[in-house]
Amino acid sequence: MTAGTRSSNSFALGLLMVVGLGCLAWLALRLGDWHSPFARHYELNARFASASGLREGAFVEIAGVRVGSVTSIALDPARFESVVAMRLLPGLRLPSDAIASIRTSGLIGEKYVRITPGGATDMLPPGGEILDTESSINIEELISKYIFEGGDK
Amino acid sequence: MLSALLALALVLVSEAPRASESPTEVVRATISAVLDIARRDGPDAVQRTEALAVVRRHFDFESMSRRVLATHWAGALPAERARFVELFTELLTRSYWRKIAKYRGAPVEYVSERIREGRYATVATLVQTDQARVPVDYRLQRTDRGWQAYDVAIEQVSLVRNYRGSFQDIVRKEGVAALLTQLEAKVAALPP
Repeated sequence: MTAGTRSSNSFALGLLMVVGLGCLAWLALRLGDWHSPFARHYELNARFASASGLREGAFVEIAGVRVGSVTSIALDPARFESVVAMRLLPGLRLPSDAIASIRTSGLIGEKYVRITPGGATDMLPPGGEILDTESSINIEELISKYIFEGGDK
Repeated sequence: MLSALLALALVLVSEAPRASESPTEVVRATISAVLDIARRDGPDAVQRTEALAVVRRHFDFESMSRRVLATHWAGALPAERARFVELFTELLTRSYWRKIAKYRGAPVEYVSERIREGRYATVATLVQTDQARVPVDYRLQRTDRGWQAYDVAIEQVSLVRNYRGSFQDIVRKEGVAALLTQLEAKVAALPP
């Protein structure tokens, strides 16, 4: 075996290693739902009277399609309402009259945020706030209300 | 003659845009005017027309319609939009008038007012019905005609979002023209 073929074999092996590692890295990133730090997500906030049952990581849906997730749920201590931060797909833009509603998937499923876009021509800027919201409907509270307050006609 | 002139002057004064009024004042004035009309004796149709005139001054039915038709508003022809606004206004005012005309509950309670970004406001109220105290929130926006309501949320359920959902399905499957036909039938079926 000459020195020439040995070095070309090593080169082919090295190339294979590089390609293999590259493929692995690509696969890991794809599976890990990793987004390029250069792709700017569309971040929006929304305030709810109650975000009861909603969790961080809950998904955000438009027309039944998952377009992002809830990144944080915080309390506004001045008004005692919840401020929900959402991270949506980069490139998405919503009209300013979109409505965010907290809904339950199925009858007793987990809570998620459903956004219904509106008809306005101006768009919410990244970091903006969806002003019109619907809180989670608390069925128990509604029922108890109509049990206790329903009688005194 | 003099009293007729005075009446006319009063109407003109109340017609003038009251841009300085706060959102709560707008909501309060509209509700009490409508309830006053409802409590008076007189033919129902006359009362309804009068109440509608009051409501129209402070409810922006066009903005409401645009929000309801949502993504389909841009694609609708100007004539279709105008017809939709007309029919939707008719549907809302006629179906709610029947409820308001019968309302004899406690005075509406004004809970809070909140202005955001200088041009949007939410006025939270409580209405005492036979069954329970129901939270009713009015959402308004500032226009050159003063504060105008564009949505009402009852028990946190938004009127605009509700109709947005049901009308979108019809428009997507059958188009705007079909929605207009269905609305016409709905309005025609309302009791006079």
